[in-house]
Amino acid sequence: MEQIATSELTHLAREQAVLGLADFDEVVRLYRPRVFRFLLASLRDRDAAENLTQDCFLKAYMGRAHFRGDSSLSTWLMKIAMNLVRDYLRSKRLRFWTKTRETALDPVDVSDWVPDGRSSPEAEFIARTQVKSIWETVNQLPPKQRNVFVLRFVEEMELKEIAETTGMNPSTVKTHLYRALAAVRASAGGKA
Amino acid sequence: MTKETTNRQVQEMYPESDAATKRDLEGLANSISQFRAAVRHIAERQGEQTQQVAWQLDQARQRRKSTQKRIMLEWAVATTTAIVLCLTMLVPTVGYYRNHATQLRAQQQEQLLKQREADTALLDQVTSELSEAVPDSMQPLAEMDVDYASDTTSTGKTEKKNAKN
Repeated sequence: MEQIATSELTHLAREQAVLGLADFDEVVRLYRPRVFRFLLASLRDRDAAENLTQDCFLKAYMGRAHFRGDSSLSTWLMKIAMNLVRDYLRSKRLRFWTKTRETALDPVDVSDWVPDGRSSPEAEFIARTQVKSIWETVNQLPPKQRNVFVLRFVEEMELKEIAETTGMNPSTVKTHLYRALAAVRASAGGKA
Repeated sequence: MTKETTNRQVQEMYPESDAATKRDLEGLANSISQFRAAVRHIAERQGEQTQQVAWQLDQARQRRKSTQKRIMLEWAVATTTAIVLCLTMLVPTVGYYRNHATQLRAQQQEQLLKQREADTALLDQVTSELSEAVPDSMQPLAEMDVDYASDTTSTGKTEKKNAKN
């Protein structure tokens, strides 16, 4: 137990140290894939995800003096990313006349990335269909449910960590997760 | 995260499930694992094209500046369009009200002229009636009136004074 606490403290200290100007390259190198993945799953738009990833790190770089270490660096970055997604979707709604979905990922593209190793072509087809269905359902979820679902099942975050990132309390996170999962389950053909 | 972990996470959300539901949830967990794998694949592929961090930050900074400029430009265009639209709507309205006011004024003047003409006609009629010769039957009264006006005696003056009072 003590060992875990010490390692956590060391980890935090390392994170805080790594946040220094000199080590910002390391911060980007460490957390960029995670932030990008979250943004890609939330927006389904490769270019937008790439741009917002850069914006996220720019914001973090500019606001690094305000990072007090209350939460982990990862949580802080994910919080910034989530705010960026919210702002992006809001501005997209306001600028409805601009065509912003040109680079949107086609659901078929995503299902094409399902790892091979199926026993039969039929099993592979089923897997692809299921991934496509989840991808579509996640896109249609309300923003809060989508965030919670992606953070839990794509980013492997614990409920407490999700609560910290989203600013919700754990029971609310659980409710959103339950609803999101019910929607995904319904779309996959199971009971909601 | 392994398939088993996802399965555990999914099962946690449905603690009181029977065997059939558990099988169903296993299927769901499997699909979610596939979904995660797919998203990770894409993200990783994209990650291979990672550019230099400094360049990325610079690019983000430039984009932010251009976004700010674009937003300002959009606002300027929107404001100009709104002003033009307002003016387009305002000009005919003002024109209409101006025409309406002119018409009203013309009507009032016309009415005033008519009124004046009517007054003049009435005055003319009164004057002509007053200037008519006194009929014979009324002649004595007219003479009395002349005498009364030219009476300069003290009695006459007193009468006139009384009449005024």
